[in-house]
Parts: sequence; C-alpha cells; structure tokens
Amino acid sequence: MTRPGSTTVRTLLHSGTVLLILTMVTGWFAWASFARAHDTVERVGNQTVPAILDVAAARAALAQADHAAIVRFKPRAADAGPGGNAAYFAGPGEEYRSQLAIATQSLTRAAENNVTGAEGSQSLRVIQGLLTSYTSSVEQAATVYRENPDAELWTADLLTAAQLLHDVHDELHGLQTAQLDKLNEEIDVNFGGPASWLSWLIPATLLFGLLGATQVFLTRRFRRRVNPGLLAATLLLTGLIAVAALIFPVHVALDSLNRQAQQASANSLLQANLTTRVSQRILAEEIIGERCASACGPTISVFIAVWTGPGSLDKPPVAGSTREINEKIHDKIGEAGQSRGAAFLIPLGTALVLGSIVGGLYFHIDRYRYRAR
Amino acid sequence: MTRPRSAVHVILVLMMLLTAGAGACANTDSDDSVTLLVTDEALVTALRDVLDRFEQEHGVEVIVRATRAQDQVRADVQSGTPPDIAILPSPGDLAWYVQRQDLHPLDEVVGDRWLSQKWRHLARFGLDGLYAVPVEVNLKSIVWYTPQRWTALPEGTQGLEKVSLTDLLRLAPEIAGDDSLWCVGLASGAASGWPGTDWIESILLTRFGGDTYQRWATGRLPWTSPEVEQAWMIWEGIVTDPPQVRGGSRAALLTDFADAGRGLFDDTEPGCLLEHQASLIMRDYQHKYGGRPQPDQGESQRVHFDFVDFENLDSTPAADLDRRRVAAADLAVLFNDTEPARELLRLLVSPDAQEALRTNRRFSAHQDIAPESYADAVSENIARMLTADNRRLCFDASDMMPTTMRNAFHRAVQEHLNNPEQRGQLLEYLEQVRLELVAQGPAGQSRWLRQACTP
Repeated sequence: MTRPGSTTVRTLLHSGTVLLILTMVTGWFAWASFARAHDTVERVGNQTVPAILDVAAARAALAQADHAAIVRFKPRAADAGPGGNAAYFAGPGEEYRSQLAIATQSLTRAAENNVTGAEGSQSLRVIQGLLTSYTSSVEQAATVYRENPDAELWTADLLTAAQLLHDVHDELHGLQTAQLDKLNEEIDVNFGGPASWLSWLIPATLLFGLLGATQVFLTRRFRRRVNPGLLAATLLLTGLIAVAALIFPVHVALDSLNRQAQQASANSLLQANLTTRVSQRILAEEIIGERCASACGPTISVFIAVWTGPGSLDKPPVAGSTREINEKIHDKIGEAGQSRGAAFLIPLGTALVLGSIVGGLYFHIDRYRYRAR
Repeated sequence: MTRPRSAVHVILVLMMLLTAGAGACANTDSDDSVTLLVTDEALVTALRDVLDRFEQEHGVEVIVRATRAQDQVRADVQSGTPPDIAILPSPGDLAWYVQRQDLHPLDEVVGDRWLSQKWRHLARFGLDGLYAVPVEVNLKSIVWYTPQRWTALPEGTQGLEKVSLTDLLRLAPEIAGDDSLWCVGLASGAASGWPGTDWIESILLTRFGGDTYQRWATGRLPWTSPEVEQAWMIWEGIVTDPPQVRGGSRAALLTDFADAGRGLFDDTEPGCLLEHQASLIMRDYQHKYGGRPQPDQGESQRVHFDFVDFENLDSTPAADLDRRRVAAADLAVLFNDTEPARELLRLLVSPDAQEALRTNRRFSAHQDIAPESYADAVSENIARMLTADNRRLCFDASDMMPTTMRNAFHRAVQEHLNNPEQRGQLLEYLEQVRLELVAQGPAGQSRWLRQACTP
C-alpha cells in the first residue's frame, strides 16, 4: 500500500527543486540582461557616441577651415596690387588655424575612443597623413603668393589642397560609417534581440505558474488557504521582474540615441558638403576663373564647370542645429543610465525569493517527514 | 533524502547556466588578419578576386588601406605602427628602412627566381639582400602619339614598324596646324611635379648615358653638375616655349597628369601631338578618351595610339651610348614577418596575381607572364622592353631618391616651371638637400640606394 506521506514529500521535494532552479535561472538571466544593457549604455555613452560626435565635428571643422583659407585668397579688387588679398599678409589666417585645431583635437579624441578596431586606427593614421600634406599645400600656397601673387604655382597648391581634403573627407566618411555600424551592432546585437528579455521572462513565467500550482497543491493537501512563504516568493518575484523590465526604457533610450547619433552624423556631412561647395565655387570662379581667362588646360576647365554649375552656393551653413543635437544626445545618455543603480535589487530579490520558497515549502517537508515516521 | 533524478536536473541546469555564461563572455575576435597599405587603390581592385580567394582559402582577413598620402608608410613606421605589407610607389626609403631593421628580407620568403632576368638585379637596388619585389612595373622614357594624326608618316608605318622620336620631331611642323607639340601635365596631388622629373630623367639618361644617370640617381652626382644643369636647361627649353606645350607652362602646372593626354585624341579644340609619359597612361587613354592600342595589322584609326623610345633631344648628335630605358615599379615590402603576411606576399607575386594584373592592362616582371600573352601589340612591345629584350634598364631616378630628396625634386620642378629664372637657385637648393642626406645616415651609412641600372 502506497504511503500518502511519501507521495506528498516527493511532490514537495520535486516542486521545491524546480522552483529553486527556475528562481536561479530567472535571477541569473535577469541580472545578465540588466548588466549587459547598462554595460552597453556605458560603452555607447563613454566611447562609441563620443567617437561618432568627434568625427562629425572634425568633418565640419575641416570644411570650415578650408573655406576660411580659400576666402583669404580671394582677390579684393582688380587694382588692389600685391597686397590684394588677405593671404598676402597673414597666410591662410586665424580662423583656418583655429578650425584646423578643432579638427585635430576631435580626431585625437576619436582615436582615443576608437571602437572600430585596427581598421579604424589605420583610417585615422591615413587621415593624419593626408592632413599633414593638406596643411603643407595650403601653407605653400600662401608662401608662393607672398613671393609672387602673379605666379600660377599657388593656384596649383590650392588645387592640390582641394584634392587632398577630398581624400580626407572620403576617409572620414568611411570611418563614420564604420562607427555608426558599430553603434547599431552594440545596440541591436548585444542588447536589442528578443533573447535578451525572453531568457528571463520565460523562466519567470514558468516560475509564476509553478508557484501558483504549488499554492493550490498545498491548499488542497494541507487545507491551508495561502502559504505565506510562497506568497512572499510570488510578490518578491513580481518586484524582481519589475526591476528587470527596466531594460525596456533603456532600450528605448538607446534606440533614440542611435537615431540622434545618425542625425548628428548626417548633419555634419551635410554641413561639410555645403561648406565645401561654397569654398570650391570661390576657388573655381573667383580665384581660378579670374586668372584663367584663357585656357588653363583640361583639368581646370572641368574643375570650373563642376563647381560653378547650377546649385552653387554663396554662403556656408551655420552650425546651430548640430549643437542642439549634441545636447540632446548627452541628455539621452544620462537618461539611459538612470536605472543602473537598481542592478543590486536583482540578486537581492533572487536571494529573497529563494529564501521564501525554502521557508514556505521545506517547513512542510520536514513536518510531513516527521509525522510520517 | 534527495532523489538522484532531482540532483541530475540540478546539475544539468547548472551546466547550461555555465555554458550560457561562458558563451556570453566568449571572445570571438580572430587574430588572423594582414594589413596591406597601398597608394594605388586601383591595383587592389585589379587583385580583388585573387585576394578574396586568398581570404577564403587561408581564413585570413586582408585589411587594405589605400591612401594618396605619399609619406604614409614612413609616418606609420616612425610611429611604430607599420602595416604588415606595404606596396611602395618608390624604393627611395628602402636603405633607411633596412638600416633601421624595419624590413624583413625576402630572399627566403619569395626569392627572385620568378623574376625576369633584368629585374633580378634591378630589384636589389644594391642592398645586401632582397627587400622589395615588384608587384607591377612600368616603362618610362617613352613618348606617345596617335599615328593617324601624323599624316606625313610613311605609308604603312604602324605597329612594329616603328618610327623614331627624331622622325616625329622632324615631321611635326608639317602637320601641327593649331596643335602644340607636347602634352604636359604636372599636377598629381601631393606628388605634383613627378611628370617633370620624368622628363629630366629621360633627357639626362639619353644625353649622358647610364653611368652618369646612375651616379645621379644614387646621390653621387651633384645637382649643380654641368650634366644635371644641362638636362634642366633642355627641359626648360621645351616646356617654357608656348608653341611647344599645349596651354603653355601655366596649363602644364595646373593640368593633372592623367588629363594631359586628352589633346592626343580630342579633335574639338587644338590639342597636342606627343606625350612623354609612362606606360601606365595607357589605361587613361582607353578609359577616358576611348583610345585603343595601335593594332599590329589592319587599318589604323584616329583613336589608335602607339609609342616611340625617348631619344636625345639635344642638338648634339647622340653619342652611341649604351642605350637604356627608364622603368619604375610598385614594390611590395614586408614589415611584420608573420605567416599570414608571408603567404599574402607570395600571393602578390604569384603567377595568378600577376596574370590578374596583366588582364587589367598592368605590366608584370614575372618571367611566366610572356610578352606575347598581352592583348595587343603595343602592350606586347612594352612588356618585351621591360622584361625580355636586350636593352638595359635604369630605375626611375626620383623614385630611387630618399623621400626628402624626391619631394624637393618634385617641388623644384614646379617652381622651375613657375619661374625658370630660378633654375640656378633651385639646383643649389637641391644640392644642399643631397648633401644633408649624405651626411645623415647612421654610422656613416648613406640613405641612398646604391644601384639604379642593370649591369
């Protein structure tokens, strides 16, 4: 004849074991998901996004620097004589040097926060090499101009500088694209997939179900309405899930941050392109065009045709919108990291749930074993 | 008493947890990669299929960086972050790299048995060992023309029936019309001026011979010597004479080297009849202007182009010097001696890779790439001159020079065109740079390479 006590003990032991295991699994994955979410926020906020903003800033600053330098070579008037433009007296000028310094500092910071590995490092070194050649060409143009404003060589130097800066912008574009891809990867791959929350939500659901089923079993078997231990475990589990679910607003914040970083990059690209169109038009129309009334060869003909065609611009855009976006980005980073301090609640909650289950179930197991003997 | 089945459940779950945790922490990055720095991105494009196969077969990622910053490799070496392999546009800094022990010798990596005979000597540059191997080679000291435009040429002259530059110069006034004689473009980004250096090299070689040229290219002939000065004067006489150069010296300074040849093909406005340019310009003639190499047989058309050897332009009858030609190469060097880097280097000089370059209209020094395998008679001739015929080669002199000297030479050519009266000052300045470089080598070693010409 089967001893009813043995069956009850076995059922309680089995349920208790599964409850404990499900609690540990839920707690572990909830904590891992929470920690990964906030690690992502930290990495994105401290490295990836600042690197993106630095490259965007460098791109805009370089276009501004080039514009500032070229404007210095504009002839003031047909009869202005040797000092007929600002470059004669002070070369490419303070604004050029100031914007160049901004670009250089931004690129240095981007190198410190490099998130695109060896390729990114190499790209930054190539950019540095090209910038060295570019600044050399601009300074040479100023030197030659000062020696002989009628010489063609300084025009050739400005064209060389334009070509080199075009290469720099190509490299920056490639680097920025890689950075944005990395940001997408960090947010989506490391954090955004369903596995990041299903890994704790599924065991948590099973745990809720088993807690309820065990409550029902105990009620029927021992004629008690509610097991306080299991009730406490259920309530604590609810709290634990609520804390774990804080990754959802983090995800939303990171998604928004991603879009804003993309926007900042797109803005800087647009600004750089527009500024470049203005400066190249000045170079083609007002500097070279003035000097090349007669043929200056096929390269110049094409250059003038490209940069003085429809859509030429007169003034570079203002950088205001970029500043606003950068401020929003910094606010969003802060917002995403707000719940970080709650991380300790997950392991604490898990321990309390475990303790409640042990207290709620094993009291009955011991009692029943004792009675059965 | 704990039931064994529950214990098994616990153990299995714990194992799952450990595995999940370990998987989350696993580092999946691979260290199998090779960095390759080039200055000619189109070269990598031509090798793309070969590189892709290499990556798949060896499980090695080839990280390619292309830059037009000519000094990039030197900057990377000085900052302690050289690429694994670089394809250098010139060998000028080889001596410096070798003295610093930055480069690994290639005798045991690829050797030179695969090279055609001429290049086995040339590629050593007088160093103790093989440190650079040619991935692509080009012929310089040649002059391009479009035969159909030369209506005064003897009938039937085409293909292998070569006219000479002397013939063309003699016939030019008959056919010139509004055309200028020479197409010249010196612009080339940070390396602007190099087409002008090619001119001076060709003039000096054909006027004064291989020994004088070699002494100059290896830093042993002063820039202020009569030979060098005369070469500059001859070039000056051509390029500053408005009827001779399309658009005059102003256009020459502002025209990109790849655009200068338009005048050979463009009939919509006055053009030019001759272009002194390396064999690499063939690709631009074909892609940009619809030009085609002169066929060996069949009717010549307006778009066909051909070349002649550069000859002594001085009015003095050319001495029967040992006639040589100027060549150049893109050279692969090894900075980091890893097995993947060695494998990539072997690939770059393999028949497969060299064949890929040949089909992309690039020239190879590989002995297995026969001149007859090139697609047209013009390319076959160039390939033969580069690898197989019995005329000796000299490496491009400015490419042989240390970077500082080469950059100064490039700039001086531009300054000279800008103001020919500065010739004397420019040569003195160049001489100053040469002397500084001679004195700079560690422990008395020179930064100059020692051998520029085949024996």
